[in-house]
Amino acid sequence: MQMADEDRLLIHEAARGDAYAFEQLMRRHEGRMYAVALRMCGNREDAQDCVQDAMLRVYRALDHFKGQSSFSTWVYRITMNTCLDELRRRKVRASSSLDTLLESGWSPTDEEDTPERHALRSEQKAALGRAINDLPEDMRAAIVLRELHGLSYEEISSVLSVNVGTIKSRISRGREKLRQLIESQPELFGREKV
Amino acid sequence: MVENLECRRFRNRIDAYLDNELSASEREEMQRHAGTCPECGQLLKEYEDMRAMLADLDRDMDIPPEAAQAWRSSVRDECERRRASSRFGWTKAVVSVAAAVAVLVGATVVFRNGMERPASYKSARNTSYMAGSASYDDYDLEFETPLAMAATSMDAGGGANATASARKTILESDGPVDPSAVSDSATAMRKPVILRSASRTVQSTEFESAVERLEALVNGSSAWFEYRSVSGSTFADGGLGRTLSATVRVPSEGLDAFLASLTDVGAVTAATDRAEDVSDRYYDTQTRLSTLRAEYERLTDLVTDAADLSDLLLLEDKMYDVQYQIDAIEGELSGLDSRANYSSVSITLDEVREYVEPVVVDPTLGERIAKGFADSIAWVRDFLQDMLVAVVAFSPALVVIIPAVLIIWLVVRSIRRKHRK
Ligand SMILES: [Zn+2]
Repeated sequence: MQMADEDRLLIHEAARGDAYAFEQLMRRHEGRMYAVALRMCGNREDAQDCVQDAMLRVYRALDHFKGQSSFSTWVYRITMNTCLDELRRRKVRASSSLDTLLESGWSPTDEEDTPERHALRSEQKAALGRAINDLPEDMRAAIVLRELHGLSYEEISSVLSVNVGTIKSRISRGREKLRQLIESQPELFGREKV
Repeated sequence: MVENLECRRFRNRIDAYLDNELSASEREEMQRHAGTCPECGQLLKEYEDMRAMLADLDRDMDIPPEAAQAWRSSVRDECERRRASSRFGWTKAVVSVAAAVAVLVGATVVFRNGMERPASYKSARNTSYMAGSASYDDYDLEFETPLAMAATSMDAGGGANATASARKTILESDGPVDPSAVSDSATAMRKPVILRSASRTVQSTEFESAVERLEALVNGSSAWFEYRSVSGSTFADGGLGRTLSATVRVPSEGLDAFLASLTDVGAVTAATDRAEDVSDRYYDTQTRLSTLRAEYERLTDLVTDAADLSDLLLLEDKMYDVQYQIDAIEGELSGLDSRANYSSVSITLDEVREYVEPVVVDPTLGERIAKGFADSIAWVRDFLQDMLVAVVAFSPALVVIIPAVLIIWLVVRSIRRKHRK
């Protein structure tokens, strides 16, 4: 019901092991999966590994997907679990993500920006990214899903298997932490400040 | 820094405001305060700017080509491996079953030669194939189980830890859970909270009308389709028939009637019923909720009596936490309520070419068939008994054979594991 017919057909084909159908199906999800993995892992190598791992998990579990939740929520769930597993296994706090983010050549562009403004925005985003990276894992997961990917509290609750009240609390505290960071860097964010 | 009660109130609600969870009048109130109080106005602006930046942060991020390539090739590898192993597995299954049957039958025949047997049994050599094909079916079943288990554990690995543990608590019950089983006299009064679910497999030769009957039944039972999907293709299109997979949520009081009426949709060929008693969890949660509400009340009273500002701030922080817990518990309870009030029924509706109709035959033919069948059974039974005796007779040889087979199997398995990695 929540799925497009095309998706449902692809899921059916892919569940029977058709790798081509699976690639078609996941084309629309891979960017978001990678974005989540990069925020959670903090570096490109681990993010790539997590996406690969998560894709295999989705591929293997696809015939168990019964449509209780939307497909994309389910994919988020598997991606997030893969990342959290990975983080737990390595027990290494992700670090220096933004250096790699910028070095990767990825930076959001805005056609109308002057070079100065653009540079400032990139720096702001880099600082925000570092701040996200410094959040505790649980809080980071909730913030990434809510603020970067726009999921509802209910969806986040089903992705993380944590009740809505706890999610709200994590997001509230996460926002507060991020805002404090911004406040502490008036040279970067303080344009509007009086 | 000036903070008054109004500011505290503003700050406590700022998340709800940002998440658009406030009523129109509450929003207005927030905006009014932000307009008059510079501190809070600045705070709100910071939050809103930050959220806009966060929303923009990964908006157009794309997967790098090497990562896109990496997962695709690992999925293709997996696909290839799956095909190869299913081919290999099938061949292996056939070969090993054939070998086992040949050994068993050979041993039994050798053994029987030394025994006295009615002549009519000795000529029935071709029937031995029957015994062989029967045990092949058994083997095939066993062979599939580990694969299914692996797939299930993969699902759990995919993060369904909660599902896995929930599955554990589900008890297959023969009837409604007996409330009197609860020994505590205080809790014996309460209404049991039972989550029921069922699954049914239904077959029909007329797929479309069976689907229509199912829809009518669902509508007539105040139930609804939580999920439905049709796969497969018609016999006319050269397919193997269509299958409707559906999850229907049925008002629990009408569940039995609903399940009984499924026989009007088609022939019910498989049925599973589950009931999970969550009364303890439900009432414990309810108790926790009333405790928290009482605490919230108490804190509200304390706030009105609070002597100085630092007490007040402390109290309001505490209230904030309690409110979060209350929200969480209310969510949990309403989830349980919904599952208790609406049972979940999984339905698989298979299109079949025809029912296996009971065959009406003339009595003498029927008798002949029955006699032939009984004879055959008797022969098979005797053959199997002989087989057992033969196995026991040859068992001393197994002391040598079993360890040898085991070693070979372990070696083969470790080679395959390494290959897989
Ligand atoms: Zn204020």
